[in-house]
Amino acid sequence: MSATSSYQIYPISDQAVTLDFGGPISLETNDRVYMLVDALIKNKIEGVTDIIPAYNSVTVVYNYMTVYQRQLKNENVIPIYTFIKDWIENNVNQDVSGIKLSKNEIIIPVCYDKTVAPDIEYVADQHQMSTQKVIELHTAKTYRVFMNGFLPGFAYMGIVDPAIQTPRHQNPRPLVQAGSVGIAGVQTGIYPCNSPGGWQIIGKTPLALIDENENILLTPGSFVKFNAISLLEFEKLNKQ
Amino acid sequence: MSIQIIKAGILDSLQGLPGTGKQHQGFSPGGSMDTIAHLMANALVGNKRDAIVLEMHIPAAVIVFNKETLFTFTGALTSATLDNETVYSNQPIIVNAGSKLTFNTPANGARIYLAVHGGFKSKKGRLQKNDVLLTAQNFNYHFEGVGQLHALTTGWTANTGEFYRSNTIRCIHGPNFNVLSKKEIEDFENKRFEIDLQSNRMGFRLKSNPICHTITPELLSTAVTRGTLQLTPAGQLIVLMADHQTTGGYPRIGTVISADMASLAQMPIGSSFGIKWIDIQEAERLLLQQETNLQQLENACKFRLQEYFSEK
Repeated sequence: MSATSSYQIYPISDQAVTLDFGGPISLETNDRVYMLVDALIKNKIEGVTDIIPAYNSVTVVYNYMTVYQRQLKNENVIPIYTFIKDWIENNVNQDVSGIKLSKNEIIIPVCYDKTVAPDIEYVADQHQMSTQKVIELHTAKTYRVFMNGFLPGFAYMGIVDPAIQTPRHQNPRPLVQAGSVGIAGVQTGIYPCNSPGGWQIIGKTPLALIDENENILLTPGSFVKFNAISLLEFEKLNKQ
Repeated sequence: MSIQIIKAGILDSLQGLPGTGKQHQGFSPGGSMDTIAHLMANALVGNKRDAIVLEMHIPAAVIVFNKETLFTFTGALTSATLDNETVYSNQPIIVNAGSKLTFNTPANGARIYLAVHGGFKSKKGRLQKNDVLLTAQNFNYHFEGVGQLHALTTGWTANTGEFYRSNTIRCIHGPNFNVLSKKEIEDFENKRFEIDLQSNRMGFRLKSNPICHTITPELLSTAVTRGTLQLTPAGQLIVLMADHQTTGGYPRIGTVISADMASLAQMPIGSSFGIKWIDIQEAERLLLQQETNLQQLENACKFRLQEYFSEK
């Protein structure tokens, strides 16, 4: 069996099926996730309401009755779960070599000043380096948005340089401010709104991650680069 | 047309059906906790299925109608005082301008759904005292008798009893069911799960004994749904409800079947239930049966309303 056909597929409800590639967080697996998402969107069937990518899985949510009625018309009597499962598997087994993932890169200005980055000194101490080095390593990489989740517009990004990887706090903070940039293990992310949270906060962006019409900035599959700005610039941008 | 909240309930909000198409961006589907009560309320006043209704937890709000309208309340079985008369759940009621509606306690259930003809215009977030809720259309039916109650169909109540169960909730196995030990799996069918005080529209925390001692493996976050049973590091379950997050990293040991979600949504804090495992084919069969029965009842409501108004 080739690597591209190894996966598990199972129901997570009577109206949702997950295809799980398994394994740890990796760009390669996440590429396969977005290739499958693209194929499913292209070959979408009536009654599918959501296609939710995650690190190494894709979940299809469907309206049972809509799919059932469509099946009835086609005089097809297999269980709806089996029908959806087959549809997903037909798409994962497709030749995906022609599909190109978006390489859209978004630049996020981040202020790493300790007045807005309560954990940056802790992270530096943990790795016995200067805060400047933490900033250098965090801004050096281009990150993939592996998935959205947790909050509307929250992007799980990676992979963080091993030299600054730090586990999350054992006890989450009751309040992390909107725009806070955090790291947790291999992941980095930005809180789109005020929220409780356990990630190590090493910076803050003045950009809004979600607008009043619920459009989000960091969509799944896009690429992100952080650009360090001074506290003065942050305050100027924050006022706009 | 509009109604006004003259005394806020413990948690009142306007709700539609669960949203679709934005979960991949982290937006919870939300929507009415008890979708059967939502659909019944709309059917009883001649609305489309997705019209917006008022969801109230108990104790519920006290409401004044600013203009005559056709309304109903469904979900938790209760009576209410409309001016000086007693009215009941699952009945279409015509009401005059200025009438005041106060719900009586106790109610059998946890959430009441109030629909008015035409549906409400959306207003997000928790409702407060003095909020005025506009409806999307007027009720063009006038009748004599100012300050006097008119029940639309005398003695006619939609029987929703068959849609609700109280003792067991049926679930299918989740992808991480096998994190439970053999003993824990055996214990499961005999356990009672009590809905903890720390439960809300996002999820119900469940208390049961003995707790599961499973050492939970590191799992990558992946999608979760309404009804997902998550096993927390403390060894207890959380069942995800309407406002659930779109993804989660706790082991998913099962999922409540869609056909039993309304029943679960009507279980008050402190009540308890058992879990019965069934397979996906059975879950699909039960959902189809429920939907068929629901559509029959919706059609009956439509017919009754047409009949009533054609006679006037």
